[in-house]
Amino acid sequence: MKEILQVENVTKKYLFSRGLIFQKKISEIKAVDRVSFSIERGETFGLVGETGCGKSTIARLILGLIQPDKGDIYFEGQNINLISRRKLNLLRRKMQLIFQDPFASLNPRMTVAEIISEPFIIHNVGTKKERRKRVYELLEIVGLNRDDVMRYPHEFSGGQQQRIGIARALALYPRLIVCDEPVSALDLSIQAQILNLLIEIQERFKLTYLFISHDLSVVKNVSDRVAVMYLGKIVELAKTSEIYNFPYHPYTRALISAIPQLSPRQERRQRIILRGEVPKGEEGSSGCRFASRCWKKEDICIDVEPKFQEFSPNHWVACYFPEVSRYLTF
Amino acid sequence: MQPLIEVDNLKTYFFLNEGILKAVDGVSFSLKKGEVLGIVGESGCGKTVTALSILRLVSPPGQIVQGKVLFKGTDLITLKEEEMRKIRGNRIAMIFQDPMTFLNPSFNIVNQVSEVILLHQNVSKKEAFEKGVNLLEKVGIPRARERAFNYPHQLSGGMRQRVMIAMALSCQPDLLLADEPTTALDVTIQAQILDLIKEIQKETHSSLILITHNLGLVAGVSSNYVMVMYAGRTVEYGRIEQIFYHSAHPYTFSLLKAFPHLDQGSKVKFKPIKGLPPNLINLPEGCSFNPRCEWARKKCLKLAPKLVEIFPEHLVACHFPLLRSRPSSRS
Repeated sequence: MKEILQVENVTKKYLFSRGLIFQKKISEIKAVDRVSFSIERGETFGLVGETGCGKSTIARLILGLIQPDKGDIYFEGQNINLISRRKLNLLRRKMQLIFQDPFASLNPRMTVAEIISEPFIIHNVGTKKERRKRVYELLEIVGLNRDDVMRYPHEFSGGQQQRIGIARALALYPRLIVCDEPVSALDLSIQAQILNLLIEIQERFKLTYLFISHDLSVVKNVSDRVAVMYLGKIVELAKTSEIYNFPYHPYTRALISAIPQLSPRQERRQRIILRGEVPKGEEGSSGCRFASRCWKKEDICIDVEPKFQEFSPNHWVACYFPEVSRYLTF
Repeated sequence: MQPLIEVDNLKTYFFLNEGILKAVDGVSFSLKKGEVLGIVGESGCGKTVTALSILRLVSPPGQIVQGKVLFKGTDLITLKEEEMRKIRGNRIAMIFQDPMTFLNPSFNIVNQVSEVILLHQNVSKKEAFEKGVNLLEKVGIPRARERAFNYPHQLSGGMRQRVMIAMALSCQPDLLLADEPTTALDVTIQAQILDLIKEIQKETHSSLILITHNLGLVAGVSSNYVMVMYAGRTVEYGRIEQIFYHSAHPYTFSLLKAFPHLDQGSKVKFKPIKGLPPNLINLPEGCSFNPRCEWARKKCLKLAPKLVEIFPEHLVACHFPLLRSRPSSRS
């Protein structure tokens, strides 16, 4: 089977209350709204979007940490929301998560050895001796020293802490790793080190990545395919080179143009500055969610939500008036 | 033309129990009216402390131990605190990274903007209020007259940053210090704020110092000059085209290479800088970049390089500057 993960029509709502006791109003936000995509074995699937667009909710849904309100998620052909808890635990070995903030995701009272062998204890894998051997092996894979095992997380720099997090994620020979903003908390010169490490271990262990980030230049450099999210919906999905050279959706175009470029000579570049901010997705508006900020909007955009369709081979977009010209980065 | 601000061999140390932390260790630059300087470096390289030292906002255990900050000819370091207060927020204003920490949560926004005006200008409360509302309008807050009574928590991150900018602009300062003004914001909002800062800088013809870790941002605001800092020191300074296209310091060169480009193909391996930024209390001997430098030789391990002018308006602190990428025909 080609697909390792299938997400079909998944919706997740969050309820929240506003106002004081007497005028209390309960509203709901659709953090993820009828999202479908699938990830192929061995690929890196990039998921980009701004704060609050539902990226991290998707990560948590996939890992089975929260339940979807509607829709199904299949991992290696099994519906993760229908199988028994015991089977889910077995599946969870095969999917791991790398967090954004390396320090917050490591227990400050545990040594590196304890942190990395925690997955073995939870899943009851291996003897003491085997576990120790594997810990040393993992440290070597992520580029840390054997002597580091007895040290505590605070003794390491941010980049090294992220390496510990990666070692822990690799402990149980996973198939799919969800990387949730793995480098955004790191310094520039360290970012490249960690990204290289991720690419290297992917090749070595034939891993599949779901790479979540708000940074489009990072995503471009690691992903095979990219999906762009806006307010709980995927608005565009295509191969990386396609999406960066021919962004169809106006939002994608604006996002790409907003990335600060390394070149002081930017004459040829198209600059699109979006007006307004990301609206809160609570009201049940009927049209395209991006309409309030879109410069191409027409009446139909406000009334009827555009379908997510294949506009050109393997290039999906949800927009009535996709841009078709080539986008010039320089 | 006389420079608006001239920083000469500024040194700010923090006296800690563990030892002396040399946050800023000999930084010099000058900036003329209407020009933009970008200060770039990784976290802990002394960018922010440089800005705080200019405004004399470094608090103990930090101390400015040496150097001059000449602003329109007067040395700010030796100025009395009273005099300094007249300059702070008035002639030199600062935009901070995280607006939520720097806005007072218990005052509405117009209150905070007009406070600056009341403090520095001889106007009545009512006039100050009007000016405050006008400023909020100018920085692009929709329905500014109604929103003026909002409290910071009722605004989004981008709007808060706009309030910060309004405060900084309230007295038409000669110099704006922007410390990572867009780091906490989303990309599309980043572009808006950057454009606003650029626009205002052009309109008021003030000078701008933009402090950031993002090299792309420096290019984005069309800076005239760039200063690259590493471990508290200036390692390279020059016109922006020089820095981006003909960087001579190995650190600048490697940093530009490590940065993910949009014009790169996908799935290209990065060329990271090996190792970690140094501990500022315990700096390596010689050039502080030597443990991470690909081109380091014996001399680099012993002797710290001085900042020298290798080309007109292009200064580098390196014993063996990289000159190979420079085309011979034009400079």
